[in-house]
Amino acid sequence: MERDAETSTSNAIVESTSQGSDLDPIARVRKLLFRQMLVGIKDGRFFLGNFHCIDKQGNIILQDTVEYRSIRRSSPSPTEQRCLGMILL
Amino acid sequence: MQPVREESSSIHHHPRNSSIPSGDNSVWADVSPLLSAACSDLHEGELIHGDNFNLFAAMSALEIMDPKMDSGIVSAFSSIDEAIESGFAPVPISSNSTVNVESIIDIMDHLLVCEATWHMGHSLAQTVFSCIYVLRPERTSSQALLHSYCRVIRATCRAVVSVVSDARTNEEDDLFTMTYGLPFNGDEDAKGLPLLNAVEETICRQLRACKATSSKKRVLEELEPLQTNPQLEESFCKALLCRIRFRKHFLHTLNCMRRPQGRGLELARKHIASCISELDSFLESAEFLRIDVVENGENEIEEKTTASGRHPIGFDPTLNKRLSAPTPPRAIKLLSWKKAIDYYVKLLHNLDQICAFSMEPDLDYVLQSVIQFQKSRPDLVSRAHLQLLLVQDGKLYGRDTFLAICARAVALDATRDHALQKNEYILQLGQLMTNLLKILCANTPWQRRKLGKILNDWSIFRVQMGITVGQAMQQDTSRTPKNGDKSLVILNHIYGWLEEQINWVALRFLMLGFDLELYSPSEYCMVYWYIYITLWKLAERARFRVLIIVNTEERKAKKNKDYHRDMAREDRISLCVLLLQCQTSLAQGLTVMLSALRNQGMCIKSEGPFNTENEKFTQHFELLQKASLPEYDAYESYTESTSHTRLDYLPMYEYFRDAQKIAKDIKVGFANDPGKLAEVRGLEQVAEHNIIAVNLISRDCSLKVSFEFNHHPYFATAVVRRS
Repeated sequence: MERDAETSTSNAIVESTSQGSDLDPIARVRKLLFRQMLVGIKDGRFFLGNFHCIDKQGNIILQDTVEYRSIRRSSPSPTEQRCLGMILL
Repeated sequence: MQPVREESSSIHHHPRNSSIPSGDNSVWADVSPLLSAACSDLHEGELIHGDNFNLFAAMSALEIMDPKMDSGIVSAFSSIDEAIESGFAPVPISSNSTVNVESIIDIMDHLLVCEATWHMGHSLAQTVFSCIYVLRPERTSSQALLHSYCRVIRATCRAVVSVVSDARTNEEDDLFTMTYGLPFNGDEDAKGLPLLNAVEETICRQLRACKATSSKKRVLEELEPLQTNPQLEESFCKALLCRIRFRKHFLHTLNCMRRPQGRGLELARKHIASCISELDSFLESAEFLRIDVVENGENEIEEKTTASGRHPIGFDPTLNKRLSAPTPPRAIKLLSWKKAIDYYVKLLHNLDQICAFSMEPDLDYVLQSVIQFQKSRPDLVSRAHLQLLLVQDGKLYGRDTFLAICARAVALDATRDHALQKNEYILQLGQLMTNLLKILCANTPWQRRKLGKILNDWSIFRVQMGITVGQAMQQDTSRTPKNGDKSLVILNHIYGWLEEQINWVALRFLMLGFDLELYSPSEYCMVYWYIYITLWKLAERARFRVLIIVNTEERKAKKNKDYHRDMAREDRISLCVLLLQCQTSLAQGLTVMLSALRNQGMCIKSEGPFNTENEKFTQHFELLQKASLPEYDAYESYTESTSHTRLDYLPMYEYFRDAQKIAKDIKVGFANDPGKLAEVRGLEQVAEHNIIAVNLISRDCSLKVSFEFNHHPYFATAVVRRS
């Protein structure tokens, strides 16, 4: 499943991650836990939730997720959202 | 979990997420490469998670892109508007008027199927409201036929939802009343019916014009034909007319039946009759509609949702997928057109049965009629209508208080006793009766469960009332009762009647176990024993009550020459008592026969490797025992009375012969009641066959005996075979 992942960070955390660039990737991802993560998927929808878990295959679990989807296929278009709870991507 | 494709090309898909805020004092940062790196460093089975992570809880997560769990998967259209813009539901449907008319008929047929499927227990969003023309009726305002039809369907759905919600039977069928997010517009939808009437008028005139000879035709030529081929015009008109008329009459039926206190029932029956005759016309029209459709074989056309077999335009069940819960609604299979018509025929017959209720303030009649109605296994919609007819505003038929009804059941008149209305026991009795009637209108499994539960409530109520009335009676013996004050008499008689009523509920509970196939053959012996003791008590109390009624009525008739005695009612109740006695004898006979077979090893014992007989007994009859039915130790009594029966003694018992005799006598009395007559005939057959079986098995122990319900659904017949 192709996806893009972005996470919001406060400026402070950006600094800390740049300090911690010696840390291995796993530890750095561990620091991202419980933060807001935005994931886009192939069919054009986005999911915004708290980053809860990830495994070797790249399956991600988000909590308190909100789904954003556009009403029209063409862009730009208004989006509608709804709450999903815990999801697995 | 789906395996992830190991593609680093995931990065170049830049999301246009300027509309999704990242929160105060923060910005979005792309972490895809970081996650990829971490994933490759992880070991198999290793997870990155926080301290509070619970794998078991994580299993409840919705899996995105799994069709069973993700209702938001973008399929054909992202939204209704997009579907409309892409021409999915054109208005008008086609510029070719023949195709237009054909398509409208297909839509009407498919909507009928959707509506029937919804009635059977699915959601509106996936059925009727999967049609864009129904979702957005404003679009079709230039097309009178389609527009008015859609409006009337919406009004009908709303009426049915309202009935089922008010009856509150939707606990059983949660999806039925879900209208969340669906657009209903009461005022606009109500305008549909007059408009549909006008459309019907027009098509009617068109039909007359078609049928007229060519000389007269010139006069009526100002009418616009439905479509271009004059040879097909008449058949199209007929096909449309029966569909329009069915819709109209169905909505009228619902509106009439909703009128309080059963005022609209007679008119409703006329509309029901019209509906049924229009449904016949539906089937007649099917052959014409299929003429130029290539048939792929008989089976395929049977499964189609339209008469023509074509797929209708403008329906997409996935459009409303997201309107309800986060998870997608379960997949449903629409009925076929033929099955939908069968459903409506059954529904209309059930509704007609309800309309035929005589609305007599007679509790025995009401209870018998409800039981009779339930025999045909009516569906949710008709049962909801029955419940609303019976119980309104805490009164029977919205008209008679339960005090008056119960008093009348013991031949007393409580209509003038206003003080008694507020008596705490009478109020509680009203609630118990309301609850009982509602339960009797429910579906069989739910009904049985609830009946078992209320036994305890009734039993406690009876004990409490007994104490209060008993004390009051003791205090009262010192005074002579005042002429007008019959309160205590009424309370006392109602208290006496309670035992009969409780046993009636217990009996229904036990009998429904056969309906639901809850008893295995090895348990029939104990079941019939319990039925026997319940029936015996019930028959005894009922007989006593009949004596009271007959005596009271005789006295009243002697005192007042003008007094009108309801002989029909008295006869009816007397016959019912005899019926109970017949059933009691049968139950007794069956208990004895089954126990004898068991004692001599010809029947499976009810003791298995996991449960003792006592445990099974308790499992089945716990609720009855909690309600002190009977008051003594039931299991002990059961074992005592059945452990000594022997096969060679069986012919000496007279139970089946007694039952046979009673059945023969009462057949005459039930001549006007086909339902009851059929039942009595069945009981007679059970008795006769069992007499023969008893004679055979008492002489030959090597025969094989099994029990079937071929003559009566609750009383078994022994079938004897050579082994």
